[in-house]
Amino acid sequence: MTELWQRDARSLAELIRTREVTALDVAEAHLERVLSWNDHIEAFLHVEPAQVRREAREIDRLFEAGADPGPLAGVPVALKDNLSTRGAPTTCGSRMLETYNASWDAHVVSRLREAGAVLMGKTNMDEFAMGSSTENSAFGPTCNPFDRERTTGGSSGGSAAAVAAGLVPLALGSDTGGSIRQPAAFCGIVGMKPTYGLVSRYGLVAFASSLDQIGPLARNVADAALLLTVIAGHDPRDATSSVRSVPELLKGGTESLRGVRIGIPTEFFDEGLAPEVRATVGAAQAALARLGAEIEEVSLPLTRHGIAVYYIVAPSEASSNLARYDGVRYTLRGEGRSVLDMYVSSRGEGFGPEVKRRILLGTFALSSGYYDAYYGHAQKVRAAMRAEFERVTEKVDVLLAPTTPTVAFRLGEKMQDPLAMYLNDALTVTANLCGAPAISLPCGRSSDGLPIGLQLMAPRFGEEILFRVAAAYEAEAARKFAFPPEPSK
Amino acid sequence: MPIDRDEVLRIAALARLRVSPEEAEALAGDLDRIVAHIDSLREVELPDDSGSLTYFDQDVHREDRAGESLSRDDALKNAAETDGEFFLVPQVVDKPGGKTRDDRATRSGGDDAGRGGDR
Amino acid sequence: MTATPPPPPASTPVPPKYRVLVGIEVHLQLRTRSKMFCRCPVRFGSPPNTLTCPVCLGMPGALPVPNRDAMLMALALATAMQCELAELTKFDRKNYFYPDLPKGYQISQLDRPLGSGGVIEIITEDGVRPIRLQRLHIEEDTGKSLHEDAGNVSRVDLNRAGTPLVEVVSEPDITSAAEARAYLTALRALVRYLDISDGNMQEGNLRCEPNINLHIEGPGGTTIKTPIVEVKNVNSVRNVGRAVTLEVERQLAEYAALGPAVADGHRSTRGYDDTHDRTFLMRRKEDAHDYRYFPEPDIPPITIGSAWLREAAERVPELPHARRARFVEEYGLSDYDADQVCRERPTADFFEQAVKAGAGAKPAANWMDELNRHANERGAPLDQLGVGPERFAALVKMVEAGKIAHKAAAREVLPRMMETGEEPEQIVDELGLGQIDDSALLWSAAQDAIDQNPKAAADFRAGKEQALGALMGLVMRETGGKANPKVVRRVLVEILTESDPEN
Repeated sequence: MTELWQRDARSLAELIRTREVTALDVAEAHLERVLSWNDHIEAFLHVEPAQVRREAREIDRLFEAGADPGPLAGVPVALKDNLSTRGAPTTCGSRMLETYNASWDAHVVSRLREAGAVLMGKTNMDEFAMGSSTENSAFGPTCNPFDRERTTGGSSGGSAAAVAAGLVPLALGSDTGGSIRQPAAFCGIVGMKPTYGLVSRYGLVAFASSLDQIGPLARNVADAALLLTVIAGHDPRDATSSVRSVPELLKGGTESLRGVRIGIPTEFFDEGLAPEVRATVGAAQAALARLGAEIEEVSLPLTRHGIAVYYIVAPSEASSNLARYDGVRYTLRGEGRSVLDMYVSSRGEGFGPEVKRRILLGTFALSSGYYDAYYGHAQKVRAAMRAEFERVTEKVDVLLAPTTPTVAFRLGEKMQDPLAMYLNDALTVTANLCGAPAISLPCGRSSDGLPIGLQLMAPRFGEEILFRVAAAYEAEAARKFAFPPEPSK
Repeated sequence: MPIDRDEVLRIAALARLRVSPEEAEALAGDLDRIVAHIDSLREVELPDDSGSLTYFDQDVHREDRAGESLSRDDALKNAAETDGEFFLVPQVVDKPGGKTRDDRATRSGGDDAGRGGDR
Repeated sequence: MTATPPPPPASTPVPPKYRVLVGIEVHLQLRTRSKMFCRCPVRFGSPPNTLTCPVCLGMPGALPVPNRDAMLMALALATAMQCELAELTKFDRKNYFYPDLPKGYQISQLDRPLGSGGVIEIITEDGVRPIRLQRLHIEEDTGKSLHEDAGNVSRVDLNRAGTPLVEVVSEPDITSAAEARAYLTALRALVRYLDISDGNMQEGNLRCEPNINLHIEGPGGTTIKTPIVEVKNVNSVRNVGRAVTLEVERQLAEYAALGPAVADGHRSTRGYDDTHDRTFLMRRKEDAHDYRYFPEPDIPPITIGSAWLREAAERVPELPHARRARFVEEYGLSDYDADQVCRERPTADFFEQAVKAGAGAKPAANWMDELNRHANERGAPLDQLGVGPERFAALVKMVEAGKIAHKAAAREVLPRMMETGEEPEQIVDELGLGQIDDSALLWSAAQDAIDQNPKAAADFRAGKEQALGALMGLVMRETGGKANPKVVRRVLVEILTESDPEN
């Protein structure tokens, strides 16, 4: 028999809607999973079981009263800990915000509440979303449920691990340079970064404002589409939120991809790619061809500079976005007799090493005398890169690439080498720099049994075709999600 | 652009980060390697029309309507130090003339006078 | 023996020839209902930290959304000052740390300000002169830090944080203290005409920072430029003049002490101390900040299209200089009267409406001071005195028609109109203030006066016109001041000339 925690979001929603089970049953099943797993993988930073039960009972009460609590009624959803949540901590994985308690909800959190979701808790992350392994969390790393010696990826590692281990069917993450897709790939699940502007960033603690997007993590494409549909759409509180209407995702119907053009960007298949990744992604490409898609090679030469551009733009914006953590209004405060002393000690104690590194890098790139050579030039290259991306995606509908060059690396493996860690983002930053939507899907396992991710990218606001191709692939490959083995007691 | 310990300390001061001399040494090494990688960008030659940075086809504004503010308790509740009315911080500067005053009455605007250049 | 020539006179120091260059940066708080980037109300004098929200507190995850009205107000001002308006404008972050700057950066505009160039006309004793402008841009205000005398804490109030400001930067075209005052006066009149700011320097919604230096004629026809000094804490129109005067004196003294080497000094910032009427050094250029400006990624660039321009233009009323000229032309006011009436838009509006309702232009203009005095006393705007332009015009017409004495109208009728909202005719009737036009009554009073004062009568007949004054006084006293002086005069003259014994 399928356990409740094994079910996906749509089937849980259906069971609850038809009153075959209660929202409380579903919440209890998942709370039990959290209890048995979380100590082993540290996916959640905060779970308040009493609050979870309260929310679930409220959904049940609404159903009993004949109301419709919404499309996600009773479905447990986890939130990355950089989404402002009323009445809960929002630490961003940082000592700086350890005691911060927001009195307001992020836009996506409001949307989830309106949709009837039960908020399970806040998940672990690299401090301020800066990292690719969740090892930069001030509260300790999250471990990969498939191999606890390995990383989940990051920065939304807690969300990815929670979904993969069945602690929740759905989670939200944020993706600035790959922070949803890379952990999704490492944990064998679906992770999607929407078009910049499709989802309001109001209440997402900013890392790099021009790159950050909130997106769904789920165990299949349809669940990810469902969650995206709930959170997408214009929000007047975010000036960069698009006023376009949200496309209808997964209307159903044909799985054939006849007439769909898929581009294979050569630059994404460089020498650095692990052979197993290359082979597995190649097989996925063949599967898409069998569905009738036209496959053609394309070139995006400027994307080779993606990491360089990204590691100027993102830290620059971050250095400014993180200036507000100053010890005055809501952060940790260090000692200091003058306000200057107080600043440097608060920020010195509150931020971890990677955050400091990036603040320094960004401050340098913006500082007098260096702006034109670094930030100014990087923005120009970024603009050219985007123009190039748009030219290419006029000719093809989606681009296909691996999500990561390798499978999940070992915990600690890259901690002493920041540059090596940064290079892990090489295949994901393009979508962020170009504002384009991208999705990572599980497409196989390595010989060690570690998941491998397939990445699809589309032109901006191309979510419809992106999800259509993703769903068709998922069906063709008949990939059923396999949960990790239970942790030994 | 090579980055050494002094440069790290200069940037850290701008960013209001306390960095010990040992940390500065390590950070200089990290940043130097990162910047060396980033410097590869300088060789990128851009077409004349390298595209616009704005991909917004919309202006988003707000109508001028006032809404609710937070209660003072909510505004202050996360602060390290308050007196129930104000956020408290260590003394900013010693002002000549003594009196309690708002030193910022005319401070916004900063040092931009005569941006027009030499005169 | 030849006379030794007298020694040359000890050289008295000749004051050097110099030019004064003053540019002024003005920050204006816009009178919007809500803040620049959030919906908190803009209000002066509220209890500390009661007008804040996640956005203006800079809480994690909060985002700014620009206030459309603030943009339009700034555009209207830029239009009125004939600035070149940006087709594409954007916001930038100016990064620096200060406890009353919640985000650690101020949202401002760097290289694409809303307006560039432009001009403000100032009026001084020497006439009208244009002062060129560099730019106009929008930014958000900071909060306030209050520093205790003793003690080691500062207190921070963030009510003001995020209030919309417009910064107007002039070219260094201002050449004297008087011109600096005139510039501020003109700018203040302009923003009040546009109804975009209170322009009140005491409350800090108009703040100004003059930057001052001298071009001194040095030895051999060289020009020595003193370093530019920016002066802060200038909180009144008068003090901007003082700041300029003090700086000119100080920089001249520095030249006297250092000679041409003065030019090697650094740009600095000084504060004006109005208790001691002096300026003091605040910081030198070396301490200047590195603001690390970069484009604000949270706000997309804004295209100022035709709809924006049209709406902004609709907000620009007839401006003071145009209105002055028209009042002279259309209503025959003197330049002086026109200037007085046009200084504040409510006055000019009220005046014009009263004239349209039938009041004579000249008398109405003379009345405006009286009305403004009442407005000031009551702390109420002109249009909320309880006397609208129509009823005011009715009063002016009664005075013009001789139905009531001006003094009585001003002292008795106008205040009562404001209190009760009654019509002037009604008040005049009730109080019995109407002037006596009844000739029969006046003829007998005049005859009585002449009979009682034969000397004055004789003097008048002898050609002493002023003797009539005494007779008039008697008649006025007799009638309790209600007689129409013009009629009294006519009647007296008639009696005296007709009954002249010599005729």
